[in-house]
Amino acid sequence: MFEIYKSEFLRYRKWAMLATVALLAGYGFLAKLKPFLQANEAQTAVTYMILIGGALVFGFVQMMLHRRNNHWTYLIHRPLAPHQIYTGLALAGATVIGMVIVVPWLIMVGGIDAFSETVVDMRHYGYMLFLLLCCLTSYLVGTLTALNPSKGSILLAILLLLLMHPKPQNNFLQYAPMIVAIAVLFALNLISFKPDLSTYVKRPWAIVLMAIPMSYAMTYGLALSTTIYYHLPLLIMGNHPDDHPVDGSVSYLWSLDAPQQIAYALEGSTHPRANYYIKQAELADFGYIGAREWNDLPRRSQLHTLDAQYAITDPETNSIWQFSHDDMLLVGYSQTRKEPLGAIGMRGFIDSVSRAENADRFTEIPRLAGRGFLTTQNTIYRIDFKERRLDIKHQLPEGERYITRPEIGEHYVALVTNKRTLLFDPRVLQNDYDAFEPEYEVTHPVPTEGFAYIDTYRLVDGYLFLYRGNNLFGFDQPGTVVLHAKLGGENETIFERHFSKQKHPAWIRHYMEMVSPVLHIADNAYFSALEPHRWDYLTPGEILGRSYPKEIYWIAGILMAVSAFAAFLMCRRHRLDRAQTITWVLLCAILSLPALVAFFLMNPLRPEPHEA
Amino acid sequence: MQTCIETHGLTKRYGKKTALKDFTLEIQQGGIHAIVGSNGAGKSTLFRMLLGITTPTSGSARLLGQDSRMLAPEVRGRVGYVNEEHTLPLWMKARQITAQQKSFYPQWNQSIHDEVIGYFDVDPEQKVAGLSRGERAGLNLAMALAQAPDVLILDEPTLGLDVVARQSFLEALMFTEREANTTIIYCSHQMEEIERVADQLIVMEKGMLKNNSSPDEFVARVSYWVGDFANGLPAKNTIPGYLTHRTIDGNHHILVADQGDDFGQYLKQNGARTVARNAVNLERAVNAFLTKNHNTPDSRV
Repeated sequence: MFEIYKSEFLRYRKWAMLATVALLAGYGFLAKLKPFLQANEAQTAVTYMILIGGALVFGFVQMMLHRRNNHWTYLIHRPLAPHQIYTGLALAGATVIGMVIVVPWLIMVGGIDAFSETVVDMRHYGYMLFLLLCCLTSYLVGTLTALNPSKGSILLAILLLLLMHPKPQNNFLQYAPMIVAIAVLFALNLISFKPDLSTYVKRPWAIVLMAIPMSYAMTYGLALSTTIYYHLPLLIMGNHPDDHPVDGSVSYLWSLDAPQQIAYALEGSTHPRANYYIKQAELADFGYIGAREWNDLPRRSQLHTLDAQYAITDPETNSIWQFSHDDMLLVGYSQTRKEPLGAIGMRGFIDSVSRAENADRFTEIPRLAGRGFLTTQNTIYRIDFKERRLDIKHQLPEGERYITRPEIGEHYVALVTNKRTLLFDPRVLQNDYDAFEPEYEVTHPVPTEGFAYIDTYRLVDGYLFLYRGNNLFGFDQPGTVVLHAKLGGENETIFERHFSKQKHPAWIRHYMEMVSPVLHIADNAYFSALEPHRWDYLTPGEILGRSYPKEIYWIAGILMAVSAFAAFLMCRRHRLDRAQTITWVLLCAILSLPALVAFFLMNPLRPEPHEA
Repeated sequence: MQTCIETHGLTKRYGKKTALKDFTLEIQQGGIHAIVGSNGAGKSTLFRMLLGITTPTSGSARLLGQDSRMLAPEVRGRVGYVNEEHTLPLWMKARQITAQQKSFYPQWNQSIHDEVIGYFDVDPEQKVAGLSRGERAGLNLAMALAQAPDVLILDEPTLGLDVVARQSFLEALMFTEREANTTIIYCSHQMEEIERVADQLIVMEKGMLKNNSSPDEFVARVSYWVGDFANGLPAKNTIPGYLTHRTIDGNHHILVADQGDDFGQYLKQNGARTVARNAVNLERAVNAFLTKNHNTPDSRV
């Protein structure tokens, strides 16, 4: 095995060195343009595309080069078990990838750490582990695509989505799924690496390991397919709800002007002043407040690419302040004097990081906002860099937390918490010494999961708040609420309108649940385990507690039964043995239609005529 | 004597095309067994199935007593294989490859390697990419023979080699056969090579086994007749054992299989005024066999 490894690494050694140097040059160029460790979505996307995409292509090409007829015979026909040969090749591939990922990153981050005042945490070094594991996952998908005859092997790239999309709450949850994915892919590669590459995977455990992610990928494929048999025909016929909003549904509001929306939301209201509000809305200044709970709650040692803001720069003192996850302090550096400026902790300014006590350290990662604000989940701090003061600008009572960033509008600054909406006079925000007391406090009439934003209409005696959502009054219970926030603190709910219609039929709205209830639950369970604070990832209990339209249950059940039966027939046609048949029937019965599609992808189009 | 290769009813279909059809063959240990057949006769498919690289549609193949679909590494270690491209890692030096191969084969025979490589001018420090085709063939053969395999499968190993390299290759091959008692399965289109080295001749045609005997026995099966026919040759399908014929200066030169001296009598009874039987060599006999069903422009009409 070692000899295979050595030979294979020799093959790509020069390429690996070339790629390492090229990447280092690229990093160097980026460092000239902007702070190298500053998160930048475009840069991150391009990096992923090049490195992770490159790893996939490399794995594919590496194995395709070996797959050529005579090359394959040369490789496989030797006194070594196939799994040893594959392990040798894969280790060589992993070494190449490791070299390309680790060396340039270490040089850059190590260099910045050693030769500059930039804050470099362990997480900055740890990012190369994240990149490496992503690239290895991608590489193994590439090799599997080349080695496995299944037409759907490439769909296992969906694993990358499962690994890279979430923002797990700790490092264990960040890396453990990656290790599992790599182990699964490695096992599938081992079993696919056999003398006759044209034979399909037949072992039940391998079928299960391959079919589950493939089925998961297919749920998206099937969801996309609605474009063909639902959206496109409606668009062609001119009946698509996007073009012709359904009267009686929340989406109908979109077709109306802001004042008309109030009129529509108050239709059927018996409130004595309903007409007054409709008329007032016509004259009112319109605005809106984002109320969708943020899903980028920062956590300690998170990937630096997820940082919302790199640093706070104070032009007056020409200083840069970066938050150190290792120290849990905001660390400052004077650009004029080229020297450290100490740190900012929860209790204020500290002369140097080394003098910080535990009580100084933040207990959670604050968000950096603007040029002088720090926001934790329940406190907003204002920093005065000149006078080296840290003031609490606003603080929420116990049990309440901000769910969005402060929204700065023309007439107000809005803070949305999990319980209330607070409107402040924007002038107070600018004044260092004034207390940040709200002019309006509106308790949410419905849970925050039900709406994504709040429309505001500025009246002479306060604000009209319009809440809307397809799940405003609970799951699949669309509606609107119009509320009057009066100057002086009093609030009155004018009208709650419940809608009976929806924009799309139930089978489109709940397509994922219908097409594979189990995968939908598993998907949510996985993401909610990684990000429990996210309101939109549901636990199995929450999903099962929902009440879907009856037709969804029926269609889902029928699809599961039909898929299982079709799988049984296909297994008979392909003359699969009992264990394989049971595996596929169970998979299709549990995972429904996506698993049936996976069956077609993981088996030849025509039954293999092999006798054996 | 031990059977080293055994196939029963081996069939391989690729879609509608049948590459090998009900192929049954038994090869005993020892000697050089030449396999000949036109392109597409199924020789490479046979080798691939023997090595377990391709799964048969039906039938079975056994190599050194083990099912080819489940060859253990130990069995693979006893079977050498050299293909026509002499596939080797181009990025490695000859010395490195030899060291690598040596590590895989505990039975490695350095003296055979040195002896065989001596027929070729291979610089150990040269990268494979820089070796000539003949040198690469020599290196490949030296390594395959040094493994001291019980069976050595050579799939058109001299393809593209010049006369000198081919000569060296054959000498090295015969040296090993003498020294190591390796069973050599030798596939080639070069009849003079086969005539020179083969103990046994296997003829394949369109995926079927047509002959498995010594070259002499095979040649004896084919007889070559020249006849002068006043009214032309009888219909081909009525001539027993008909393989091929040509008309030269008004005389019909006919090659037939498995016919005795009484075939001359048959020709006379069918209009031949004079009949003569000539000697036939291996190349002509093999060619006659292979061209019998070979597609020609008129055969496709």
